[in-house]
Amino acid sequence: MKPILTLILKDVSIELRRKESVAAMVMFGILVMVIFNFAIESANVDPALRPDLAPGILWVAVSLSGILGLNRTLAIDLDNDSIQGLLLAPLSRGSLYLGKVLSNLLFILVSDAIAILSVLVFYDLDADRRLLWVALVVLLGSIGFASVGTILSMVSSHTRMSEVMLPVLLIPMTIPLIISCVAATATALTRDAARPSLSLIIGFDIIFLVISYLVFEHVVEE
Amino acid sequence: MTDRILGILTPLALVAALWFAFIYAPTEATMGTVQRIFYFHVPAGITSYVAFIVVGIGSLMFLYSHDPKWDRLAYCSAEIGVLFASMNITMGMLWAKPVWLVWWTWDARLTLQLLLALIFISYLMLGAYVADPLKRGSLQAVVGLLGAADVPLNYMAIRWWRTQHPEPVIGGGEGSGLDPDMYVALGVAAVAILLLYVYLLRRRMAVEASSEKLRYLEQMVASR
Amino acid sequence: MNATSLALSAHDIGKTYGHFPALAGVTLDVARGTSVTIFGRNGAGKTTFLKIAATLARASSGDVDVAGFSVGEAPEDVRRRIGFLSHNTYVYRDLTPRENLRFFSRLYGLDLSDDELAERLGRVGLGHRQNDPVRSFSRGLLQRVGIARVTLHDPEVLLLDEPYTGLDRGAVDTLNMMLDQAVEEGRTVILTTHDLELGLRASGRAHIIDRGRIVYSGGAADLETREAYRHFIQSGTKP
Repeated sequence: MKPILTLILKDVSIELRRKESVAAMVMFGILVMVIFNFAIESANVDPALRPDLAPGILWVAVSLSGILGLNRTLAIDLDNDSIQGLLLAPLSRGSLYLGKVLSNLLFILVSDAIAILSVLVFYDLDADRRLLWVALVVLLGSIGFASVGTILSMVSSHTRMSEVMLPVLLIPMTIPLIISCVAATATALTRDAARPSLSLIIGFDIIFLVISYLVFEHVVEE
Repeated sequence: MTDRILGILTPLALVAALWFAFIYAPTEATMGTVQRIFYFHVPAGITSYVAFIVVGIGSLMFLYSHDPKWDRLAYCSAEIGVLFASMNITMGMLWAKPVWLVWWTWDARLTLQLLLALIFISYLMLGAYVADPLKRGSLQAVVGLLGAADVPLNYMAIRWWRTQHPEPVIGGGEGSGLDPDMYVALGVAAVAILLLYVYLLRRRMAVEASSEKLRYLEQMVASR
Repeated sequence: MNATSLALSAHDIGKTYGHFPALAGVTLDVARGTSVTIFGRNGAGKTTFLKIAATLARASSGDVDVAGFSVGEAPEDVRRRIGFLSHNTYVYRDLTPRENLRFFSRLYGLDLSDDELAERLGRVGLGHRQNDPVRSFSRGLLQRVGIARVTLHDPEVLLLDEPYTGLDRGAVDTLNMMLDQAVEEGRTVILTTHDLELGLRASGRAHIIDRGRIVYSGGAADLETREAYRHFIQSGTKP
């Protein structure tokens, strides 16, 4: 446990010094929402129905800025081949994977928080108890995203066009997650008391965390 | 020897399938002749899933044993799987247009095929862009395995999503009945298409094995 | 399985990538407290072998024990006892040397105090720069941070893969000083290089790897060794 905390702390320290990733993610998330606003304008959506677009737009913003964040945190360990230093430590490959997932999750959640706030403002949603459900969906979805994203970013780093390869691999793989999260967020935001369906999201999280934990060594060892 | 038998059986089976689909099977009541695409559209879809399962098995076995024949199996099956997924999607579109007047409706099955094709393609792109050829096998195997876990999740998500938002179903809904003769035609076509898959897979693997040998020899010559 | 006089014991190590045999059966024993150099041309397999010993790569066949532990069965125990250095120093450029060492000391479960970390940095002559971000360092200074990192956890065995690559005279001397001290302290040093003089300087034994196999083993001071080097490494492409 302690080594994992050490790994997270290292990523946080470096990010605080560089101040690149989180700022870029937040900015990108907001920009995506702004673009969407103009993209939708032409569809002449009834203002009363505009809030219905919020879940989808939130998750597009969260996914895209998440990809940005994943690339940035990976760059920390690829600079000077520092990942080798981690691979030489008396730490299992699985623990290394978990440490990276948690670091990524942390940055993604910070960016998500801002994204949720932005959506509240842009789409004039009420900030009430239903927001807690939204936060839960975002948390669970981000866990899934970070777990697949971490291993796939490590895979992409071995290619010639690594930063582009990540979305090519990640987006098709996370479609079931995104579908479920958008649906759950939409349910969470509607006026009635329906509980959003979280089982597929949780299932996705568990399946991909376990598989990635087990096969991570094949990605980082030769 | 097996290849020679397959090489004769497969075209025969395909010709038989054509006969069954266009002559033996009765014309469908509502959609007419266009419905006959069904006899090739569905088997192509089934075959793409079979191909994907093979990619998953090959990937898992490669991670376990590091025997290159498993990597070769996975990679070749992915190439051929994309082919069948594309055929399924194209045929789906050709069917949809005259019947429902649209090229695409995000129908559950077509969407699943599209996602499958995307996962296949991203797997193949990874293989093409890996900088160090010695790492390619492991990396593709990991992605192949993750993809294999993803497909059932995709199936559940899209199925669930589509029950929330129903749309015209291309390929007949769950309850649509088929004439027994149609089942026969479907069965023949399915066998033919699966034979085609197996034949193509074997040939592709043979070519790939030769390519690998060639690359290795080139490397040996270059390093002297 | 601890009390052994061998720092490294490799038996018939093979490594194939697809068809390509990077290692075709390497058997090698290195006694504790000795210093050994492995020579080989580029692509001969010396880096692959060292990486397998360092648990950075997995052998396709055969086994190797390092510091008394099997790399296949107890990799973490092996890693705790070895230090690996190549021309890359594996340190974080956004952190200071002190922060880097603090990070690695925690990762290795050492929890060295700030004073102890400062002392380690002093040993490699970085006491005055311990709070500057590593990004601003020259190659030579970077190497010193790397040396501090690799010796932080007092490893029994040092594995060095072409460590002299790209180093200037001063940095070479610093590295040699560290190696001499390590040998004095009773550590085992296994070094790969294709530079004959640097390789033979402080070593007791020399081995040559060619096309994935050990083709020569002998004393570093033997004339035979120099001849073998000339034969296998300097001969260039064979007709």
